[in-house]
Amino acid sequence: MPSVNIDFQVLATTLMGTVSDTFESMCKEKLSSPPQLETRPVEAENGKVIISGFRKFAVKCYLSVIYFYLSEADKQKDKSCGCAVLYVKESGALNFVKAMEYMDAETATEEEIQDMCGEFCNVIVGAFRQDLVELGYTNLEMGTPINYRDSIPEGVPINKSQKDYQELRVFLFGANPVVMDIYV
Amino acid sequence: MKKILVVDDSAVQRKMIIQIIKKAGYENEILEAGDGQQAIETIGASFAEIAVVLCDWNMPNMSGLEVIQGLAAVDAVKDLPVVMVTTEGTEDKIREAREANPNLAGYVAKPFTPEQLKEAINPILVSAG
Repeated sequence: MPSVNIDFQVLATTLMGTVSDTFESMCKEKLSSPPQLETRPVEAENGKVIISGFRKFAVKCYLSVIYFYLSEADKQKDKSCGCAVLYVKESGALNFVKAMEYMDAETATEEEIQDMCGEFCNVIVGAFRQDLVELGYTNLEMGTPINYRDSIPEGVPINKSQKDYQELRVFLFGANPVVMDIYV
Repeated sequence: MKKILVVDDSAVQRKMIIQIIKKAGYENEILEAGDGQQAIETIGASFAEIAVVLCDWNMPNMSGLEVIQGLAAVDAVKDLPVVMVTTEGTEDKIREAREANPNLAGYVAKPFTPEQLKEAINPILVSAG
């Protein structure tokens, strides 16, 4: 599996700014407090990380994953070099729907809520990808969001040499309804 | 009054864009497409009635880049104003889009503010009448 070598401390500020801008532009909601970025050890089995919302929140959640690729050719072959996983607590998702004037909290469907979470992931990862391109990963490509509920049963593939991942906790509505894990 | 075509595979994103357009006071009828293929079909059927296309890049079936490349190759629609609205905001991607369609009317990177979107489409809608 291809690999990327990034110093996240360099990117931390812009990543946090991107997260803040995304939620403010999409649902006019400002962060309750600054996001927290932590390096955590990878827990993988056979080159895959088991992704479960219960490990983050202990409640039901929405998940979206976007894969990174080192080139368009790798993307065509589905040969990822990492991914970003967005977890949105179910209660947080409903708060977002209420905050978004263009969605109806009374009639929003499961599909619409999953789409919303996927779009949050898409916008955050898109801006993050721009930062990586400016760092020299000029051919870095990203996939489109894949949405799940509660867990990613098949896990996400990672480079076997990867020991750590980045966990970004986002604070909105006075709580922590959003977490993003970045494996790259 | 001509119509606005909003192309994005995210229904939420389409709704957000439509709300911005309506809140800005534009009364144009709005058409929607969920991927590039639907966009091409809609444009094929209604290009004379469309004032501007707001088009995402990364979509299933046919990407926004393929849409604007296709439009650039057809005389009847090569001058149809298209504004890309996308997470692909790097200089390289903007250049790639402009090379695919030299008549590209604008480029808005996500996340965007309502003001940024309005700034991109207002001149186009004003000249469309």
